[in-house]
Amino acid sequence: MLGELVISAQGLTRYFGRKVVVHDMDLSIPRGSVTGLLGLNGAGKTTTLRMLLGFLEPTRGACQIFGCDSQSLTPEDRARIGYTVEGHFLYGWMTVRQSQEFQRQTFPNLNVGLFTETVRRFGIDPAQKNRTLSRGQRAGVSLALTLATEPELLILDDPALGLDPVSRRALNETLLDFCDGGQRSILLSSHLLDDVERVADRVAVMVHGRLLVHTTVDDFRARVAAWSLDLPPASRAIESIPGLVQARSLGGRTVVTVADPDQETAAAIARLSNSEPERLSVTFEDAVIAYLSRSRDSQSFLAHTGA
Amino acid sequence: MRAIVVKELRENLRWLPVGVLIIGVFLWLVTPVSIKYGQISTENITSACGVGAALFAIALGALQSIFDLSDRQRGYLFHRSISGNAVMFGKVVAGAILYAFACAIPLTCLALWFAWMGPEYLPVRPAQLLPSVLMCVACFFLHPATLISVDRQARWFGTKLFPLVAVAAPLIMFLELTRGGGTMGWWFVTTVYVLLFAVVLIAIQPHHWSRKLLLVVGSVVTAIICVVFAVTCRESLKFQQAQPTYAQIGLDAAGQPWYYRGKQIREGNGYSYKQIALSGAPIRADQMPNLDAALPTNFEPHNFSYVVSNKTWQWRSRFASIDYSTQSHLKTFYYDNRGLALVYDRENEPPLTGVVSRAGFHALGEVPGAPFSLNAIAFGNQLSQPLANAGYDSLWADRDGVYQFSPESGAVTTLLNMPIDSGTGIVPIGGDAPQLLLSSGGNIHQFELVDESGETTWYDLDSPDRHYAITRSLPALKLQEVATFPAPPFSQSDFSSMAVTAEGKIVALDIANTAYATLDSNNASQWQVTHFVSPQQPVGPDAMLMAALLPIGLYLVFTSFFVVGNVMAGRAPLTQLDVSLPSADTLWVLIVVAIVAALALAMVTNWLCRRRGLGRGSVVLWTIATLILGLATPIAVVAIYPKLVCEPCPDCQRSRRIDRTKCPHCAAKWCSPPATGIELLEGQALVVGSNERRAVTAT
Amino acid sequence: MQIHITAGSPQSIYRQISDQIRRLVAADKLNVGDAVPSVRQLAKDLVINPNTVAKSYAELVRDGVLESQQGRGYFVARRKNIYTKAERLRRLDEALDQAVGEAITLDFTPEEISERLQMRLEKLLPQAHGTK
Repeated sequence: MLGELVISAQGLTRYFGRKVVVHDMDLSIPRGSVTGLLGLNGAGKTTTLRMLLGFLEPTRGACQIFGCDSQSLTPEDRARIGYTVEGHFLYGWMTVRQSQEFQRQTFPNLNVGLFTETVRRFGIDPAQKNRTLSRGQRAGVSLALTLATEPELLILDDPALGLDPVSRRALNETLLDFCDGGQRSILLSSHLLDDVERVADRVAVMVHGRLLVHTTVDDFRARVAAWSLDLPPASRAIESIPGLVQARSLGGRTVVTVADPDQETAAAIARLSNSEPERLSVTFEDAVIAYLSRSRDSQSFLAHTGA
Repeated sequence: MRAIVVKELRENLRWLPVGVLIIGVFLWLVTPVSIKYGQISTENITSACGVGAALFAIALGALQSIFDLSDRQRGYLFHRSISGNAVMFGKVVAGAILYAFACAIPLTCLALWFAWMGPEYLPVRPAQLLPSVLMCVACFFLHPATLISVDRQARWFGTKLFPLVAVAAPLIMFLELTRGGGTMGWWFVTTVYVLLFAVVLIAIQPHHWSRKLLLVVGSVVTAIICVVFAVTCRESLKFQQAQPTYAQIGLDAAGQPWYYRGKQIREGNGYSYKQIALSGAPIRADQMPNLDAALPTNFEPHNFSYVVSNKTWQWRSRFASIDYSTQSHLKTFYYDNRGLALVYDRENEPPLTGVVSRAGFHALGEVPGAPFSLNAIAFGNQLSQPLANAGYDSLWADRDGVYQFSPESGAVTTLLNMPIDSGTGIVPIGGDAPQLLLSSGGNIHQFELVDESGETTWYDLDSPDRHYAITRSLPALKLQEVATFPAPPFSQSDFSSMAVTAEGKIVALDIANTAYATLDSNNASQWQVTHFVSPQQPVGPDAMLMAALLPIGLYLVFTSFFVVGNVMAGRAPLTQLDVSLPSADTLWVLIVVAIVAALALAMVTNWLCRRRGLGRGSVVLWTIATLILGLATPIAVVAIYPKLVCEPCPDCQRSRRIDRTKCPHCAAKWCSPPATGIELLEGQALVVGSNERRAVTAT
Repeated sequence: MQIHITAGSPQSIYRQISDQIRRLVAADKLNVGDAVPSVRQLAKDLVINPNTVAKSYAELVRDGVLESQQGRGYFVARRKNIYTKAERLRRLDEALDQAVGEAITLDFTPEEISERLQMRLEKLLPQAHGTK
């Protein structure tokens, strides 16, 4: 059903001390997909990526890239994976050109043309020192270095963090160019929901170390619905709605977001509402935020946004 | 790999001046001070260089790897198409290059300085810095060891500690080879130990900075306190009269050998020692003397003099050591391995005034006479111990004779021209001047040291105007042969010590302390051999040596139990700390206490290891390590391994480890956390059950 | 051919694309046999995931708006009704319900609404209107 997998994980779990950061994650990412990994800070996104790349040992469970266990990736495997760390780390004392040279010496083949092109897209002078680059330019260099190694799989840890709109657009274009042929895959963590909606075709949402959503963007949108209920805010009664993701109060009414609504859901909503419930349209952002708000206040379904 | 080397060089070049400074400062601390006192020692330079180089090697290794502990930097550097080992190797190569420069710059400066000053100023050649170079090379291995220790996550015993232990052990052995031990070596061992321990602690996972810092600071402070405490005790005890007692053999006034328990006390101005006998008994044939018997009043033991051989390595000029020197009249004499003594006069400019050969003093530019066949200064000094004890200039001696050297005139007088195999200097019981007993070709020649008038009255053991740093001049001496007799007929050809009684009898003791022989030199008749049974010699550990070998942690425990043990044995605690040969009882208490302490610590480690959930092999290794490394081990276990986290099993509700797939009680696997009903997973549809929603795979 | 998409709108991106192409076809901005941009080209132009475009084209092909010619790309298809009469009516009612509901909340009279609808129909479908 999913075709050839580039990334897979089974029961992947990681604790830091007593705190569970990634909890029993099963993950299958097919070749040719762009997956957006969403979650609040501390939801376990970076930890997951570090485990995938073999920089962190799972407490239990396992994960594989190209079918090879992450803990024993060979240099040849790594050459097929492009990875940019959070914040686009570069050695500050190197110039852009020196970074390119460093990359060329440590990867089997570097597409210098692609590097130059990507760097130009971000408007960077190759003679500049890395430490004098702006955040967006650094992202450009980092991305250019990674893409120029022509990987089959790109793993990006929050690449858009702190980028200006122009750099964001350049980033999105670069990523889409990268997976043009349909054989290359991207896994990126991000906080920019609009960009993920545009660029990604699959979405994964982590809440408290758990993978609650992992499906295609369209499937995700199709399966989340929202109603506006004539119900006083902060009523505990709404917890009886099956598949309730989040409830918030809005102008004296209660807005509920539910996953996979069916007749039972509709019936429960109709029962609770004092007048006819109103079905609302749900944007991608609304749906994701409903899930993410849940992690803010997991004890109660009521997120106190309006109250 | 080349890329990594270049990158590391570029990044860490800034530490090069720091390294030059560290090693330079250590060299500076040693060199000018030595020169001020007219002595410069290759040994001291080697040690200082080693401490500086070891510090820099560890610091450089840590600096090259500690930043890579950050997730971002680690991800950027290690996610490449080169293996982690290649990255590490690149770092080591870059470290080696920087380290080589950091060592070479100060050492080259020192060598150039030596060369520029020339032998007229300093009795060292630049080539004598070679041991320091070797020391630097040896110390470099701390660099990769640090690198590995910082980088690796501790999963089992070996990965964390083994590199450092493996490096430290040969390093300490190398140090012992290049120098003859002593306080400096002890300090070095301590320093290395503390540093290694600190490195291990720094290498703990990056999550617990506060705990790590606490442990590093704590262990360093503890180590410093231990060292200061031990050295203070040692030094203060040196100037107290109390000395330990131990068994030895001496003669009474009549020439009868006694086995007695005695102690040494300082007397007079504190520069000489005196033996005091406490209990003992005369040695009878085939009997074991009772060491605890009461002694007659006014019993005063006279000790044997040790026989020194010309074959001993000490008289050769060693590559890695200082040439033997002696000081008198503000002059320093160095034995040069060409067979001549170099004379440095601190009041002269340049200090090198000339050389001394067997023919006498030759100013610079003159052709010297025949060279000595041994280090005449050192060998002569040992032969004429009684002269040195009384503060006189020493005689010089080599394989071919005995010489008197006058520091004022520079004249060398040959007192005896005879092959010498071994010998000793003895003051006869009740006698007035020292004698020399020289063994040559199987015979022993007995000489009296007389002045020009043939009298022996010139010898004066304790002069009130004696000064510890300036020796007294000898009158013009002659060796007057008293007797010649064959060597004592012991089963082993060596004999350890000899004495001369008031009546002129010669007493020789064999090397195993199981027989003595007497000979009436006036009659020159046969040796009379008496065999006896020697009480078991209580050979105890030197507290300082133990401190050097045992790590600080065990040393602390050891010292405290040691004090307790001494109190139990009925002695004042602190006075016994400087024990060289404790009595048998104390030793047993000591050993038992040490073993109990070590076993207790091992049990603590074992318990800790099991609480941390280590594998059986690791538990055993750590437990054994405790017996060698002491208190450091349990601390390291606590510091290195993360706390074991357990959660109740969802199946049987009993506590189980989170990192094991199967429950040890019910063998259940972890089940997924309960579904919240809002999971949206591809290929799965939610079906409505009675009350709960379950996710089932769509078919 | 001008297509605009907005991320973060209540309509998903693939729906936005297919709606706009439908509208273009209905308004005769695209005629039968006209080529539409390739999936890759459109994805590149709009800076969106090609799979999204592919999905939208697939829906349009299924609905008979576009047809795929092996190796040549996508073209506007000859109009044919693939829905039953009842289904078509249902869909029409649905669309009208939404529009009328909106119009009522904006306080328009039924006359105003039908007049307005008529104007739009004339503008969008002149020939259809003429044949009637």
